[in-house]
Amino acid sequence: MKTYIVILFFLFQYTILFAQNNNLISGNVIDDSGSPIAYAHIEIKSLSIGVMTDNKGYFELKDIPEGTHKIDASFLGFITETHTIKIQKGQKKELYFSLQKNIEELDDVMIISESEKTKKERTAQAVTVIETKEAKLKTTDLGEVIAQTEGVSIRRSGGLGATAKFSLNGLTGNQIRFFLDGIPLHFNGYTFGISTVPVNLIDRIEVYKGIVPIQFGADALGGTVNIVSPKISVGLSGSASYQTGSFGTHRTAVYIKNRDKNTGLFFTGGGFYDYSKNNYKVDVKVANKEGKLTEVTVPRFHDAYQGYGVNFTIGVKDRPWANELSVKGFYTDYTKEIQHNNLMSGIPYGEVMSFRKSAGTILTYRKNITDNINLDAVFGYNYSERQFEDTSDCVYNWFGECISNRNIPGEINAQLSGSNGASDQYTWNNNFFSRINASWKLKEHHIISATLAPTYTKQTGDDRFVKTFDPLNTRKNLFTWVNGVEYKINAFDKTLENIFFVKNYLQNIKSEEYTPPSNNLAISKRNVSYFGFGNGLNYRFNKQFSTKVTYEYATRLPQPDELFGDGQFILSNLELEPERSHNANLEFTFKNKNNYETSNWKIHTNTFLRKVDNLILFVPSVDRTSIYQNVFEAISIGAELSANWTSKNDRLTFSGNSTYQNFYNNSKEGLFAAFYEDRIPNRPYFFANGSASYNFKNIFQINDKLSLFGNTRYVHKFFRSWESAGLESFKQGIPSQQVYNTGITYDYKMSALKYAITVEVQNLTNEKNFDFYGVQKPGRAFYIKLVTQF
Amino acid sequence: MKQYKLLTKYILFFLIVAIGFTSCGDDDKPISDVPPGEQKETAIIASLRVNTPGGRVYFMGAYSEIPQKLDFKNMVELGASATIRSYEEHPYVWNGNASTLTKYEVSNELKITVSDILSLASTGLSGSFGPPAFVSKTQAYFFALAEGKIIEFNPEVMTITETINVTPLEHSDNPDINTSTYENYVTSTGKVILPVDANPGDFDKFPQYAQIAVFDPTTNSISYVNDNRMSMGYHTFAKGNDGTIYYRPARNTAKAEDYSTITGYPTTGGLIKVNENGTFDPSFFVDLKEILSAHSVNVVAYVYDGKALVQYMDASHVPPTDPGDWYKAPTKFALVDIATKTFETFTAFEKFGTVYSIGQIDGVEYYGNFGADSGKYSVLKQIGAKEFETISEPIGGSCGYIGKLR
Repeated sequence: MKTYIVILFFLFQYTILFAQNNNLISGNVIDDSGSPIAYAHIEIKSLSIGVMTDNKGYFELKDIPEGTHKIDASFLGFITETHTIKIQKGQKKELYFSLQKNIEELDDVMIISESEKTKKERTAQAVTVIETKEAKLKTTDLGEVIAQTEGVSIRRSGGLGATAKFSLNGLTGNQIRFFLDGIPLHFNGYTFGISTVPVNLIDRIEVYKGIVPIQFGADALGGTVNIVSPKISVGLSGSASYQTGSFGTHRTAVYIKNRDKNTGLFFTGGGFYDYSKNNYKVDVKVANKEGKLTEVTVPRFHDAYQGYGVNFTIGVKDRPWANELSVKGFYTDYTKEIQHNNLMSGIPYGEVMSFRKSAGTILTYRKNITDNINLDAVFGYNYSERQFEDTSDCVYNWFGECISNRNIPGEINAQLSGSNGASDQYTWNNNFFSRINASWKLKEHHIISATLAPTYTKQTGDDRFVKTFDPLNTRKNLFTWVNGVEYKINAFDKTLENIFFVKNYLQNIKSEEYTPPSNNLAISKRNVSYFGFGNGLNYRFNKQFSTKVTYEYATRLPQPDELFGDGQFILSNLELEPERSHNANLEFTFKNKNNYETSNWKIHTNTFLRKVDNLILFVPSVDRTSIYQNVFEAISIGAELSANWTSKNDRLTFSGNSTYQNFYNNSKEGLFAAFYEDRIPNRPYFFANGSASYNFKNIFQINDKLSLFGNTRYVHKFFRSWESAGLESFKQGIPSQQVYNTGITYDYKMSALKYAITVEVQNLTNEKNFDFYGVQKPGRAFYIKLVTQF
Repeated sequence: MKQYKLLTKYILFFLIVAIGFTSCGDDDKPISDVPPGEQKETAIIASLRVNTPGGRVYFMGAYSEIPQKLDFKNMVELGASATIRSYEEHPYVWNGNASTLTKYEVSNELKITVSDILSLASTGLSGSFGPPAFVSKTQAYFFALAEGKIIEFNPEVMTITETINVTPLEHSDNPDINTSTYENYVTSTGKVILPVDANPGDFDKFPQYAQIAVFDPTTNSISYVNDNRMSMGYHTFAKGNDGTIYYRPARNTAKAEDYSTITGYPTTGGLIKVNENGTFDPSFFVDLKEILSAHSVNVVAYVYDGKALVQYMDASHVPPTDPGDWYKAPTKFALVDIATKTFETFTAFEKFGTVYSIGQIDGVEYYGNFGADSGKYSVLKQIGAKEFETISEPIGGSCGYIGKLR
């Protein structure tokens, strides 16, 4: 009998024996940085009741009997916290625990999970990872977020939606490729460039400098940027953000995902809408009727931008037959007013427009075939349309007035005589692509991977104003197949990782056009194949000090417009060779020991070399004999330095980075031989970023945080033309400039929802700043942003 | 009496003040570095077109004589868009992007400074529609005939005097035909003549007549003069060493001819003399295509002592299927004796690649080049129908213009 009583006692130790009621105690457990603690233990010892927090740090204790109870929250490595709470019949109460770290316990048993950023940066790839957790709360766009990284320069011709030129260690344009989850960015609908991708819809950004992993299947000369979407964890979660501010700016983004643990079904959906009038004030020269110029400050009147898009994904995860099978669909639409020429000089435009639309679908299949063999396959189709419209006959002044009418419509006059007129040009692309990655773990620490990445693009176009022979009607077919094989070794207890890879680039291009007078079909073709290779080595001397050495012989294949010309002003050049580059990086990382009694710091340096040959350049000529040619060689040597320091309790943070890149002309013959060893013109060569933030915690309630932040960016002056050319006093250049941003963020939790509000001032000192010669960027601007996450 | 004396004093006072203000007005004008009475040194300007990875940039330098090497290092940077001309002692640079004409001063020490700027933004004109025509110190004109506008301005004070509305150039608003003008020629009669060119979007629609636009500054009127002996030519004239100007063939028309279906049109390879009064000379016509038995005549570079330098495609030429490749087809050069209608092979330019006129100094024609096999640039002085002297090597780019200021 006694035995039965003992058994019953143990069986019901953690059983609620009381009658059912509606009393509820719920709440959250966070650490001292405000981050939720998952799987923390919540216990009412007196009632032998206990639960664990979920992955958001949330807990519920149901059917608690009336009365006063002590509730403990505990987690390994943290000091247990106790709250006393009184609950009455039918009451629902909330409790919040903010656990402090137990320093003594941490050294022995703390299991620190590595972030994705750390994991990635520990590999032998030359990659810098930018996390967007903080950036999502701020008002800067993705372009500005990336520009705060060492080695990266983004030059913009205006406000939101403006042309942005991205450069990595001096290389720019087609030499850098952009991806979203490993798929080319424009195949994902973001045809207006990386700056227009909403920050709130992404998880992190991976910047690969000089070395391009084989899984991207890309021909990039200077590196790649990969934007990574948030992971799909179990349960329902999402976020919504809204930002408004100066220059008529409105930005909103929503994201929702849900995954069922049992069935594996998941759904994600997202959308964004961006609009800005971009009517910031600029200093321009206005002419009176006598032709005399006066400098005035006027708001831009035809520079508005609108972009919106939706995407959804449905699929299943973690099934016996697939780790993931999903289908994604998306649609994006962009509209941009064009205000002026690329120097912001002369007569402004009042009605020139650019439109882009894109829609597509992506099928993803991932499977761990065996414990050692993985397969990752993506197939996609994308349709995009670009329209350029210039049909107005109005002559505008900088006050937005139509002061007269032209005889011939079209505000943009071509540089060559005899080519005036209105344009309404369309370009249509049908893109089919696939990425198949397979990896095979030969044995522990030895992995072979292979990638097949075929892409097929079909392009044609039409100028609605050209009724007869229209070069835009040409059909261009481009088939590119980039393959790669990679061998990765982890040795010496993972202190050494080495990746060796070989790539093959196949390109098949065909151009077809019906030509006058007999409508004959003129066909031009080209098939080429090239090889490239590289190696990356990462060695960790100890937890504080590591080094990385990487090298790639990279290739960038010519694009159809470079090969076939435009049939009108630009000749074809089927002899074009690909651009080639020897890219090398040497990195060192130093950081202090993980020690929560002191502050944390990290220093990272990278010296790099890019030796590029056969750079393809547009060479203008007289009449209609301009052509793309392999005209020059250049070398980029430079160094990047970044450092950050965080105080003991993560309240105060400083970070900074600087980049010096000497990108100089190495051509001893040809078009640029006279400028041998001159710095390549019109590119910044020294720039730096700095930022600081201070966090106040538990201001108004126990789980809130108030952050003050500021950042600055400095770009040293650089010349528009060759440094050695021309007298100093007449040289046109972009002056040195320093821009400051500052703001304040308040975030707090309410139940399972997190809210944040940010007020930010960009260009605090209203500095007149330029990235391109003569093109003024926005002055001081105020923004407010609301973010909610659940 | 006293009142009259007082009045006289006041009148004298105001006269003195007025004279003083007038002389102040003169003082406001840019002051030359050359003091009055001092002899002005020779000044020649030359421009370079330098290629950069971001596009072409223009430079200008001033010299007492054309140097052996035209070096970009000591030149003035003009920017990405520059059409350079000179008139009397001043270089003028038209920037089509900015829609401005900048007037420069060149001192005795050959220092270049900006003197004044004229903007055409209020007229809506920009881009590349041709350099200005200088008729006198106070009278110059921009011709935007596609728009039906002629802008008169005063180069001395760099202000717009008048916007003259004229009959627009016919077919300039039709992209199928696309006529235009570019260069202008101020004749001894005071008229300004502009040859008309076409860039037809429809190859069947190239104009089947030669045409010039003739502007009379005394009446502010323009007339378009046609000649049916040849099809449309180029927007610059071929110049003779005796000052004669000739309407010459154009690549655009030769190319359109190769892809058109029309027949019975006048030759595209003709040469017609243009009179100073703005008429075609009815007694002068040369069919160069016939003389050379050519497939087409692309360019007439000059006429020297009665001999015309002609670039042409010979009878064996077959137009490429793709019109975009037309400009890459091989060509030949010949020196055609206009009087005897005979020709000889011309090879003097072969090693220079593409050769083009860059200006005159003291009646002597100069040429620049690009695309030479050696990769070098040259400035060539013409001393005969087929004799040229290399007098300078531009460093870093091709020479775009040469002119003498004083």
